[in-house]
Amino acid sequence: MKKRICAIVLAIAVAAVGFSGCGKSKYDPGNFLPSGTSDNPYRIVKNRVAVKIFVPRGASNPHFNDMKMFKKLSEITGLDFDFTEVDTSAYDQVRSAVWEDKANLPDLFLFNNSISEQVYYGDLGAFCAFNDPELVTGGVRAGHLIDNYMPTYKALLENNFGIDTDENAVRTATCSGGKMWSALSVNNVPRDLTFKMFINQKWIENLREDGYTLPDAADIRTVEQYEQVLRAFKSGDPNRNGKADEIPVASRSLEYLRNFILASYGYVFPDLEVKNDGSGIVYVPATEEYRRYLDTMARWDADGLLDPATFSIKTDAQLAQKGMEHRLGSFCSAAAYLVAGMKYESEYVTFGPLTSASYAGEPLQWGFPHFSPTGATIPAGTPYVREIARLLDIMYGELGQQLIGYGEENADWAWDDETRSSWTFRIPEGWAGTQEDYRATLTPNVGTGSALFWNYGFVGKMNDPIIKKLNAMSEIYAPYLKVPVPSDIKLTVDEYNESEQIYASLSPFLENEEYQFIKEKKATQGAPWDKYLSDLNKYKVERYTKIYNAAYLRRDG
Amino acid sequence: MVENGGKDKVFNCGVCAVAAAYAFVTLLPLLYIVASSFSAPDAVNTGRVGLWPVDFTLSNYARVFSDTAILRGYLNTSLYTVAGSAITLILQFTAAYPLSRRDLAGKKFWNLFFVVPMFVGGGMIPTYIVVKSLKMLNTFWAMIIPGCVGLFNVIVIRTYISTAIPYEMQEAAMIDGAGNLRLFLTIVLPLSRPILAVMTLYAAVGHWNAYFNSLIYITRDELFPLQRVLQRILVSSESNLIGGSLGDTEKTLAAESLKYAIIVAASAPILLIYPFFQRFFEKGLMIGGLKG
Repeated sequence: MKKRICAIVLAIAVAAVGFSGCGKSKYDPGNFLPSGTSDNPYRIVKNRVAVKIFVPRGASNPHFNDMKMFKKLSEITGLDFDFTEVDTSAYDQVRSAVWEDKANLPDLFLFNNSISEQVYYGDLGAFCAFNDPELVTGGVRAGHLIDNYMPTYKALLENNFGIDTDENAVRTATCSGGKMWSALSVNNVPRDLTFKMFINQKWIENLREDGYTLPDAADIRTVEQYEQVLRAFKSGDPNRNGKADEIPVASRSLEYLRNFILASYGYVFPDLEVKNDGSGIVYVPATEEYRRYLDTMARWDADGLLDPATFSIKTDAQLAQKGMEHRLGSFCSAAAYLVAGMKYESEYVTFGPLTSASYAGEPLQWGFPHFSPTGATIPAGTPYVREIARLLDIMYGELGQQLIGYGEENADWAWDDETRSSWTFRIPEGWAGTQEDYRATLTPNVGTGSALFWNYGFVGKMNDPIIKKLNAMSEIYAPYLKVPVPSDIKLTVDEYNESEQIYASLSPFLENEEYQFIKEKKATQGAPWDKYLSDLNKYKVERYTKIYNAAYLRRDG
Repeated sequence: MVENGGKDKVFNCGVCAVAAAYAFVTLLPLLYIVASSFSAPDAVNTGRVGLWPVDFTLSNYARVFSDTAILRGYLNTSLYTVAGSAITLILQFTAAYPLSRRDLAGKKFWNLFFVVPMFVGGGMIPTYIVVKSLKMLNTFWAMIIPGCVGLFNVIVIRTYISTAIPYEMQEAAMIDGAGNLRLFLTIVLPLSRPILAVMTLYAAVGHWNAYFNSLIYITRDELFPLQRVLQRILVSSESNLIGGSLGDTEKTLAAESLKYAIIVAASAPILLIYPFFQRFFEKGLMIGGLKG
């Protein structure tokens, strides 16, 4: 009797699931347009349908449906967008929850697709692979999405997005199992591929008038020359206010300054990094080069060259306050005016990268990856996989690049002349906020998500004096960028989990040790240094390095 | 009580001194926040503000209240607080009363039923799925229903009712013909005013400060509670100097002092209603806590 009841209950449950599936299955395969219409190549469907898109939403953005970018995309494609917007502060939690509600997964996860999630859920078959020739979803045989529905993306991939770099777009997009779970997020805009280090050229000139012999900012080539300039900033009165209030170099918790100084000794990042001769991966904090970096920073701290508040500055405002008071000789920032204000902005210029007496090789600057496999993922089971693939393809094309960058042509921006060598952003008269505030109303590219293709070919032509200057200042770093661990190095699920655990325990230890060595003047020789190295090994640094070296070897076949 | 002359005076002075010191330590951050909220941004950024505003300004408050969403935030939060507190109190008291009754059938089971979830929660993800399944996402109810019953508070109320209200009084009322509803409404509730006041304050503060639920369950701006509106004002005021966001320096500088104005704007209403509950607070809390 019990068995019979169980069987009936089970049958009802299965039937309910089946019926609910039937109820949802209103997908009409014939509605899809594989290559648009004669008068509109962007049209994706004959009759309008709604696709569900899951997105993060930053505080400065309006609703996605109110953004110019998506209004235009909806208009030309025939797709209605049903956005699930999640505040960026709670994005990870809600996204985890959404996976558990499998019956209501979206058709597209746009932006912020973490690699760990792809590794985990990809292995469970929860994503559609963009390169699966056998892909069948929602009863539709879609096949290889890139080959069949993404011609723009395919051409860009084959051409490495026209970017001359060691990073390989196809390898970056491909997970260790050979599947492409995510479309790439691509960036080749120099000003967004590294940080910028500024120094006050006017101060240098003032000190020269006072009898100091100092190189111009552009001629500072080594960390020793940089230190000479900082010492002059400290001992002289370069800001001409009669007070000894100059801060030679300042940074928020050593952010980016550490990378800049470390690079002058031969590595750019205090974690795993490919050796400069390409022979493998090394854990930088265990190297002699890192020790030299610590010695330099400890000396600068002891001699008052480094802002004494370096480790206690927690907000941008605290740093900017000193900049606005004309007290900073050198700092890292996206733009000088953000720290020093418009009044002193023109005094600062970018400089570097540097070498040092102990490293005379090619100058290095920490570079952010050109390619990131985090742009867009399609959950398995959506019937709209072909529609989504075409939508993404449009977003990689010229129109998509423009829309996500600065909105619609001739409405939000316009070419300056027929040659299309520059364009001007049109901010409505009476707009009270900043340019970025306005851009946030057009696109989620401000404060929410990286563009699928942030292309310098378009972005670099913006006719704006500050942006032009920033572009020029950023280009000095472009030839020297080094990505510590190329994004096309792929770990297996187990390797990924293990290395994440090691990193999580190692990171706070390293942060504390750095403070001890620099601020507390812990010795970087003899027993204290040996103990530090031994402690690193207790945190499984050897294993950590071995995992990445194995993946590095696999990448190179 | 007989006073023991000088010894008592010394002891009382000692108690007062310790209490004053404790009050000062407690008030210090509060005063600092208020002073910073009325100070110029550069004074706050350079750490020149103590317990008194430096370069007095109302610009931080002007900035906060110039946002059109703020009034809607206050209105929403007031609604959530009033409706949420009412529902919370109704559910908690109607759960606690039966548990306090000696004649409740299966009393041990029901006690266990309420105690176990205090220690073993469902977690965020299952709760999210339940809220979504009940179609409460992006509704008024998402801010009211999830977590509206505090099980610990139910136990405290139960303890209060069973210890502070003589059971014999309830029995006498029943002999006189009162049913459970009448007993609850006319005997138990009126005699539970101290614990009712405490629980009202707990519920009101909880709903007023509710932030995480709105992050998870609410995406429609028109339903944002005050805390969420304030968070968005603050975040949009901060720009990352290094990460590439080309914001505005003046705005970045103002962000720090704006933070303090936001704290005051968010806390002031709830601080203002506290004195009205204070006389009940001590009594209710002591009974609930000590006799549990």
